[in-house]
Parts: sequence; C-alpha cells; structure tokens
Amino acid sequence: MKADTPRVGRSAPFADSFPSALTPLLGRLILHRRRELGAVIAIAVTYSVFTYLNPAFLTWATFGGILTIAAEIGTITIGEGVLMVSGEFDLSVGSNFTFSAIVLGLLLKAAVPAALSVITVLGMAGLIGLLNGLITLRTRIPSFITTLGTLFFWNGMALWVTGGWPISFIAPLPVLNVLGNSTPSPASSLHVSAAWWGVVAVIFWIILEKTRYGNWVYGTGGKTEAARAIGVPVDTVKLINFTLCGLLAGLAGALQLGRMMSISPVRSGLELEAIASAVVGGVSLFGGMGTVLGMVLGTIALASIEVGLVAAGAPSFWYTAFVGCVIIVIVVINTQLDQLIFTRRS
Amino acid sequence: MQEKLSRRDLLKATVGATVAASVLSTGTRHIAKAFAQSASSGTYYWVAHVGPGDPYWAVVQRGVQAAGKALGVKAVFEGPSGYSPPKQADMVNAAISAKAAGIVTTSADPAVIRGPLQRAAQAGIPTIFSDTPPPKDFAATFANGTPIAFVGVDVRIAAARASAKLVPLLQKGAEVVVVNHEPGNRVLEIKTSGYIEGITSLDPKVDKLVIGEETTKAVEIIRAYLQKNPNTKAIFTLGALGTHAAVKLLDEMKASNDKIRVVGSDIDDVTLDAIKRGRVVSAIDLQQLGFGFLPIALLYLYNNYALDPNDHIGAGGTVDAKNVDFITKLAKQGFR
Repeated sequence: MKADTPRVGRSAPFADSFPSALTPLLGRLILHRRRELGAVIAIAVTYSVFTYLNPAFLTWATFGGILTIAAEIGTITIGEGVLMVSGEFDLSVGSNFTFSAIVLGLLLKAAVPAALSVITVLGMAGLIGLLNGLITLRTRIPSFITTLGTLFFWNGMALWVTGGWPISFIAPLPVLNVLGNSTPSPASSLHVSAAWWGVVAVIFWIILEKTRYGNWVYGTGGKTEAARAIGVPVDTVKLINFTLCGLLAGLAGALQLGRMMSISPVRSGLELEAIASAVVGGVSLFGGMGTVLGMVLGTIALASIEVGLVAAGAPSFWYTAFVGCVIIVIVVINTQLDQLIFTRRS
Repeated sequence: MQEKLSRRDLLKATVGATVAASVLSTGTRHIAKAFAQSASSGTYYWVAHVGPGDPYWAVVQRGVQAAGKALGVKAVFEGPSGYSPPKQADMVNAAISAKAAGIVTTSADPAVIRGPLQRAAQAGIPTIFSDTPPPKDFAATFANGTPIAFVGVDVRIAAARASAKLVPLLQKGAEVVVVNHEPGNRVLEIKTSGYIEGITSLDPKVDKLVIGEETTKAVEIIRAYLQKNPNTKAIFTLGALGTHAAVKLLDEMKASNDKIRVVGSDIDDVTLDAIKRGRVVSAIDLQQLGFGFLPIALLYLYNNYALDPNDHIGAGGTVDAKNVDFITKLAKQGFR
C-alpha cells in the first residue's frame, strides 16, 4: 500500500470539493476540524464561565496547572484514542498505569539504574497491551471483555505486590524530577510531565497524519473489510495499537510517579476518563474517526472543567455531572454535523 | 455523488453549535454561580482525598459549612469522587490558583500532597492538616510552618483504644480478622495496625480480608471466610461499610453476641443500633464534625487576628455501651 492510499473515514475527506468561494474561515474550520469542534466549544465555554466567576482562572499559572493535570490522562488518552480509531478499546489502561508505576517505584527503590528501570517498565507496559491484543485477536472475543478482565487482573496484581501500601519517595530522585517533578519555578504548578505529553502528542500526530501507518489505522477502524481487501494488515495494525496503548499507559504511570513521588495501588479509574477525553475530542466510539489534536483538546477541556469548578468554589462532585453533560452535548454536535455532511454528500 | 455544502448548511451547523454552547454556558453559569458567591477572594477550601459521597466525609463537609456560616466566610469542601490522593493534589493546586484564603487538607499520601502545600506556602496561603497526621519521616520533610497545624486524631491510637475493649472478652491466642473495604488506603492500614496494637497482650492470630466496596458482596466474602475459619472470635471493620456487612451477616447467622465480637469504625445509625444491641462492642468515633469546623475557624483567626494555633489539636474517641445513647442523639442531629 502506498503512502497516498485514499483515506477511509478520516475526519474531512471531502473538504477539497468544497467551493472556495463559499468557504469562509468558519466553514473551512467546520469541514476540516469538525471532530474537534466540540472540545473547542467546551474549552471556550469553560474559560468564559469560570473566568467570569473567578478572574484568577484566566492566568498562565492556572493554565499551567491544567496542562499538568492533563499530561498524564492525556498521554493515556492518545494511546486509547489511537486504539479507538482502529476500532478497539482498552479498559485496562488505568490498571496498567498503576501497576507500571508501582513496578517502576519498586525498581528504583531497589537501586536499579534509572534508565534501565524506565525502559523495563515501558517494555512491560507495552507487553501488557500486546497481551490484550493477542487475546482479543486470537480468540476473537471483544476487546471490551478482554480488557475488562485484565483491568481487574492488573489491579489485583498491584494490590498483591504492594500489600495495599503506596510506594513513596521521601527525597526526590533525579529520574523522578526528569519524568514529572521538575517545574520552571518553585511556585509554578506547571510540571515537566506536560512537556512529555507534548512530545508524545507530536509523535503520534506525525504517525497518524503523515505516515502510511496512520492511513492504515483509519482504514482498519473505519471500513475494516475494505481496508483488508486493499491489503491493509488489519490485525497487525490492531496489535501494534494495543501495544502502543499499553506503552503509553505505562509512560503515564511513570509521569505520575515522577510528579507525585508516590503511587497508590488503589484502582485509578483513569480508563473511563481517557475514553471520555477521547470522545470529547471527537474520536468515534465506532472507529475510523478522530485526531491527535482532538484528543489533546478533549483532555484539556475536561481538565479545565475540573480546575474551573474548584476555582469557582463549586463542590467537586459537580465535576462528574458536568463531564456527563459535556460528553452528551459534544457527541450530539458531532453526530449532527456528521449527519448534515453525510446528507449533503448523498 | 455531490459533496458540496450550501451556505445554509454551514449556517445551520454554526447556529446549532452556538445554541448548544449557549445552553451549556447558561446552565453551567447558573449552577456554578449558585456555589460561587465570593470565590474570587476569601474562600477557604477543605480538600479531602475522597469526596462527600462517603457518610464520614459528609459530616466533615457539614462542619465546613457550619464554620463558613458562623464566621461569615465562604468555606467549601472538595474531594474526588473516589479515593485519589493525586486528584486531591490537583484540587489543592486549583485552590492555590484561585487565591484561596486558606486550605485544609489530609495526608492520605503525604508524598503527593507535600508539593502543593509547599506551593501554597510560597503563595502566602496558610494550610492546615486534618484527619490523620503524616508519618514522622514525612512530617520532617515539610517546610517549617507548612502546614501551620494539625487538627485531628492519630487513628492508630484511636483504633488501639477501641480494640483494647476486647481484651477482657477474648482468650489468649484468639483468631481475629480485619475486614478492609478499601485496600491501598494508607489511613485504613494505619487503623489496622492500631487495632492489632490494642490487643497485643492477647497474642492474637490476625488475618486480613479484602471485602470490596459493595455491601452484599462484602457479606458473602465474610460468610465464606467464617466458614473456612470457624474459630474466628472477632471481626474488626475499618469503616461503616464493613460494620454493616459484619452486623448483617451475624444477624443472619443468628450468632450470639459473644460468639463473634465486632469492633467498628465510624458512626452511623446501623453501628449505633448494633452497639445498643451488644452486637458491636465498640466503634471509633473520630468526631469528624470538628475536623471540618475547627481548621476553618483556625485559619480565619490566623488570617484576621494573627493567632497561631498549637501544633496538634486533638479530637476523637470511642463509642460503647456507656455513651451510645448520647451519641445516638447527636447522630440524629447530624453531628456524627
């Protein structure tokens, strides 16, 4: 398959046919980036409302805090989102995240060299993802079921390994500073973990948007049989994405261990937050649609709501209620836009 | 196939998105406004490691609200929906960004909360620890005067006091089990250590059992455990959920009160009734209303009158047959 294989199910496949005379900036934006529109609206509304309620919300310091919160969940979201684009789910990312961070903490406490510890843990996290893929693809059971099982399995392993106690570091190690604990200034809430997230986002943006493999991912999740018919190695693509999803969950765990200098074996529940962020960012639950930009914006949108509610002095249990509303509103917007464009096409 | 869009379609899409945004914006604004009368200045934050869905924390929240009302300041209780020190840290950071007047927080995972508290100190925001103190090795790593005080109880001591009431009731070498509904929670692990410490003189055989956070399942897990270990003489619970499960099971089994003793933690209707019936020997009463109220009051005094609180303001006790009636009266009024 060549790099210029026609894209199957990409977010704006027919933008070129839109008459330039009729395409003001807004129109082009809706056509090209309609999957990300919901997240943009959510961010705009969040910033308008919470800045009105508390002007301190619209500051670089607050935005730094939002990016820091978004970094770990955002890293998981990119892995989960890419896997969703290829038509599969991984519900075990939260447990993989926790277990990987625990293993990293234990290796560091055992004085294993930092680089070796990190590489080992990332490899292990990737293997956990690969295992999910192998079970799903070999047995042909839904990935939802496979990863639901491994979610509980790795959560149990985390509790077993730690005996229920968190793994904590009293004094920061250099590797923890590099992973997540460093800040531009002592008072800053922006952590280096946000930069790692940025690096991951750029790499995956290139993979999805600029490579033949990215094309295959969209084809695999969008029109699987058509993609298979034109030679896309569908199962291999899914297997790689499961592995990448696991690897990024492990990386996110390492980032949180670095930022917090501690990791608890309690189930994080991050898997649903990652899926929610991806959906808010325009990733389709049915595969074939979604972009890394959308995943990043979706994560920032939800993190902004989380921080905004605290800044407004609203009880935090409103967060989950708000996220629920945001997901529904954004999916409705995305569906309506898709339907509108589909109607016009046919 | 025609792939062109008309201006009308674009207009519809834009209007639709704008209307949706406006609806969301208006709704959000109304709801948030209701909770944010003076969020921009002078707000006191009480940030826990778990949210008010737990009855224990609901009472803390009540104490926070009572303090805010009594002092005429905005005081809010925040906490993640499930146990999560990292999310707690994120919320403390958000409160710092919101220029809080003061922040109260717990030390469920001291390593996690240390950075945000130091950031608060750099921003000139006073902080207080509440609920359970950090371990000594961590306490030494906090910057001088950050937090300015601790208001709460050492759950290890409180648990030891509660379990010590079993000493005259059990024989040496008794088999006991501690049921944990939330494995991984450091405070519950400390409470477990306290329970064991209180009955050390019995040289007991102690087992730990994870029962999960769903009562029906917890009942069946304990039932299976007792079938496998029929010589179990006491059950220690780490929260109301565990007490409910243990009491329900023993009632179903029609076990006599002296066959299997129960020591519980946290106060609610079921626990108090079980103490009256003799089903539960004693329960830890952490008096968490004070954990909610006192730190806010202390921060207020610190900010307005430069009153430095003492390092450790204690609270917490035990409920047993002697004081159960009085505590029940307080519980009915929502103070337990």
